[in-house]
Amino acid sequence: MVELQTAIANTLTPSVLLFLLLGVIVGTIIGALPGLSATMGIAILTPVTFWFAPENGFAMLIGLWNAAIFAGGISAIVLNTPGTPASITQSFDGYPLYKQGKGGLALGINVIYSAIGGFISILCLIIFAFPIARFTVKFGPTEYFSLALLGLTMMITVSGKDILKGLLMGFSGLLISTIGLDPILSVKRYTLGKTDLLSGVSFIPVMIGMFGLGEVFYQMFSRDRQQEALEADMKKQNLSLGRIFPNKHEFKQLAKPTLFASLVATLIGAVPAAGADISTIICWGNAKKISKHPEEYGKGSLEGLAVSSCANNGVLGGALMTMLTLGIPGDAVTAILIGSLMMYGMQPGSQMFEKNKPFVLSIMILMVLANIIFLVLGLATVKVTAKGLNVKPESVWVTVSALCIVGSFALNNSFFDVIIMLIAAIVGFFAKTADFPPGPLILGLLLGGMLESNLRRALALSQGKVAIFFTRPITLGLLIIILFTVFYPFIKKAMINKKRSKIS
Amino acid sequence: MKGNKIPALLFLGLGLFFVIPSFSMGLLSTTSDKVPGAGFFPLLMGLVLVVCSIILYCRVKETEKYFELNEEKKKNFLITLAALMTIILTLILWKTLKIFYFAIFVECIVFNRFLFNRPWRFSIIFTTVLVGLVYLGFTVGLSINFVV
Repeated sequence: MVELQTAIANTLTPSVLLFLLLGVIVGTIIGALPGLSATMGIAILTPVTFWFAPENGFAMLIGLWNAAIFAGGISAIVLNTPGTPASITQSFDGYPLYKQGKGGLALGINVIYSAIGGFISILCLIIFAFPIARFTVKFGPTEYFSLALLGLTMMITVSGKDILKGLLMGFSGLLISTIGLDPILSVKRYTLGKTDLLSGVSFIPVMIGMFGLGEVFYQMFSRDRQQEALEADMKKQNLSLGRIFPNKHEFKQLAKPTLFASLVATLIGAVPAAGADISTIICWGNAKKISKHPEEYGKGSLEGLAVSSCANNGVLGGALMTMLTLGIPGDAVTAILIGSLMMYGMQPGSQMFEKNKPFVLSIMILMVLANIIFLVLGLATVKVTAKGLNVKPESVWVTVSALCIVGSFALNNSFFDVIIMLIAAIVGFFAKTADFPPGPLILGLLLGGMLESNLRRALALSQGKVAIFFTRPITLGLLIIILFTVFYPFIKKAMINKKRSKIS
Repeated sequence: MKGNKIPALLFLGLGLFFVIPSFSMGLLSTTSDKVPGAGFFPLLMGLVLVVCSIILYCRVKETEKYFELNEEKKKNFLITLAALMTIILTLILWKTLKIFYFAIFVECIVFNRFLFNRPWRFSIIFTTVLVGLVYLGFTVGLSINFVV
């Protein structure tokens, strides 16, 4: 109770609320503009937030994150171009609605149901986070090793079509994480005689490089001028938007499917590495299967759009739950937030719930407030934001490239971090062009330290015996899930091939 | 070389870069609590990377191609390369002249005017506003002076 009072007192201050509002405004702009993503925005802004108090910095990041995810729907609806990868399914129904003259309703549904999805997932976070944190007190080195491996395995299997490429990127990330001082014996490893590398390769400059500047390079390379001309024509059409709010009947119709989608999205968000883009596709597909009117999906279905909007923001609470309780990122943004927490001297996991409980509660309060703010602001500015999407991609590219240099330097006042950022940008560009998913590399870099130190601690505890990983039930359970996750695609493929050969 | 052969060789190189020195770091425990040596984990991960890269190399079909470099893609690649060179030049300027804002100003002008063919007036105004905002936000607001 005392901690809750402290959290409320720390959160409901003018400065924290101001930073939260700023974060929501910046997030709305970033999310609405195609070419900028929530991950990019958070990666670039994170170094800036380290100059503020933790509550203020986190308020800004939480505001940005929640708003960017919902705002991606604006360009999906108006331009048929998702503002963020999580908004893909919103364009399936949102854009047809806009073409039918119901753009205002589509934009209103985007805001309202994004907020509803967000609230439901935050409620799950509040209810389940503390019991899960209490459960993780039992975790030892073997459990943390398995959790880190599970996180990496999930990222590898969900991030691309080719698991081998995911493995290559993941293990590369793990290897890069070994650069610096050995975490247990403090021996120098792969530093090439450079003092800059003693503390290892900084995670945030790599994130800024891969998801910021690397993405800019990729967009420059994959530019389609014909498609841009088409979009420019679409923007000029200026269709009327009509009413914003769903009527009573529509609210009633949408209640059940959106509640279900929010809960499913929260669960998906809690799975390490499964983010909003996966959640929206799964929820939209499922909703279509069980809908009374599946034929409307993809042609301007209010239900399809509402479900997508809930699934979008519904992921956030689940991802945060996994991040805070287990120290494993639920998606790319929570990966950066882990880095951010560690910079503030906090270690996500059960320890955080014991030593920094007021801060954990503050984060939950901030999540609720962020949803309230973007709901109010979003509804108030629906018609204005729809008309404001006229920024040329070149302007975005110039701005982002400058901010990437600035942001990566601002982290540690280190020119070396800028070099790391540039190298990561080049790697990220070629990786994306050659269809190598960048996510496993990032996660390998983030989780490598946790994986290695817990593996070696576990072996030290067992005097070198590997059997320790099979005698602890939670560890064994996690390892079985890992094996299933890795081998299931191959088993499924073999079964499909067997069926096909039987039919032929 | 076709398809994924070059990436496979690059990953093989990366794996060997970590595997070879790991032997000299100590693999087995030298302490009484049997903690594996500093080279243990990099060796393990490096070997997996080497094996996976060999599999990727062997898997490549001779007909495999990443993408077709049509006229537009060739143009885009040159622009991207020029953008990368511009950023490298910016960093060299910053490091040698020690004036960050001059370097970033040059970068934005080159991007706007020469890479994206925006008019001079637009390029100067845009760059001035952007650099001004960065100065206000970072140097004035956060006391970050970009000293290298």
